[in-house]
Amino acid sequence: MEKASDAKLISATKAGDTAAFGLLIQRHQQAALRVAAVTLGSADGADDVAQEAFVKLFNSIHRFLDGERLEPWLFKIVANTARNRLRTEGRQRSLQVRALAHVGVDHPDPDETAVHLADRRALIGAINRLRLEDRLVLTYRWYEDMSESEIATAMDCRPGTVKSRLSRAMDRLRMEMGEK
Amino acid sequence: MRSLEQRFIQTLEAIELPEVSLVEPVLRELTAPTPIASHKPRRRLVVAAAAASFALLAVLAISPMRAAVADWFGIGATEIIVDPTADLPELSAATAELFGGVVVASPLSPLPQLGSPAAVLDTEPAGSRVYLWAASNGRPALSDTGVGVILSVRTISGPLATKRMTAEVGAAPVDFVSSGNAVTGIWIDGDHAFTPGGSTEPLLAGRVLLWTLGTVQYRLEANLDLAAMTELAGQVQGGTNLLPSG
Repeated sequence: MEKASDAKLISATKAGDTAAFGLLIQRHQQAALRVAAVTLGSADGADDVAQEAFVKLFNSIHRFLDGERLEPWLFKIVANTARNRLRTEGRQRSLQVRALAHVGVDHPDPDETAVHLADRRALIGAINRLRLEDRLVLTYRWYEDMSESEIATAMDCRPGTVKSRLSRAMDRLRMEMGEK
Repeated sequence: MRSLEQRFIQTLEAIELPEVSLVEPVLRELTAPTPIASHKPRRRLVVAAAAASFALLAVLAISPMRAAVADWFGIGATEIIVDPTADLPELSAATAELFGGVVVASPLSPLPQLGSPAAVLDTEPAGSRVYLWAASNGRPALSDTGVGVILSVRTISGPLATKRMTAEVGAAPVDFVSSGNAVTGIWIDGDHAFTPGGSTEPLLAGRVLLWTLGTVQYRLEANLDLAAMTELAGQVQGGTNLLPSG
């Protein structure tokens, strides 16, 4: 059961198997937390949002069509839940990165490490200044490697608009980074 | 030199996320006993006995796309669920997000009797537009919103909306004329939970008249009786021009 595909776990969940749903949560909770944090603009409250989103996912799993990927559906619920929270909070937020993160970075030269960390801080600052829709489309495309139709599902927009949304988001990020 | 995309990915990897496991809290919430006074809508229960009382509504047109779903019932892009355990969401600032979305300028007066709308909003799902008229002597406010009449228009394709109500409120077929066309709509004569298409957040809705004309679905909400509602619906002008362009 632990190596079962998402499709099998979803089928089992539809039949009322909460253990199967627990495995789905385990598999996708990091991604849900990340989308929650990106939408909220900070990690504060991302766990509450993701928890609420998984409960909503369970309650609407009967609508899930066989063969569809779970992520676009899950991310849509996460982002909507986070948006609702933002509307009632209305306070300023900003994403933070780990100060000593070396994920994917191998720089024995301390100067080079410092440059990369400075770039990372600049980039997180630029991401924080982006509009929510821009943060999400870049996250879905670049980080989650979702297709245009999957992004359209997650963002509840027409598939034909995804390319232009992505292009504008990339332009705005470059401008924020002073790279254009 | 790493591309912006690579740097973005690595930066997102480095975001400080809560170090928690969500499995136990989620499963605990799903298996917790349901509080009696809770306003959270329950998981959908299709009640066979109540469904039987809607046999007359079988004459309503069902989009072929939706007909593939075995137990779907409704009109256009709105599913009707009769659920005796249906609870109403609380009216709150979050509920007012029904009036959220993007304010747009529109020269149209879809309901000439009411004059120009006080606000026009493009909302979710994509391709939806909401026209709002303020409350007045002849148009009591919906709860404490200050809004008297809401006319929502959207295409019948796209994510399904849901209306969930008790059998006492119910949903009944009603024949009337809209824009010179004989239509059969659905009349919901009381408070119910409305979940817009693509959303998972139920909102509190009052009396609503639903109907479709061609590919457009109309939703008229107001604190008026059926006669007044069908009279208003009879005047709707604009058709697909009422939808967001593009």
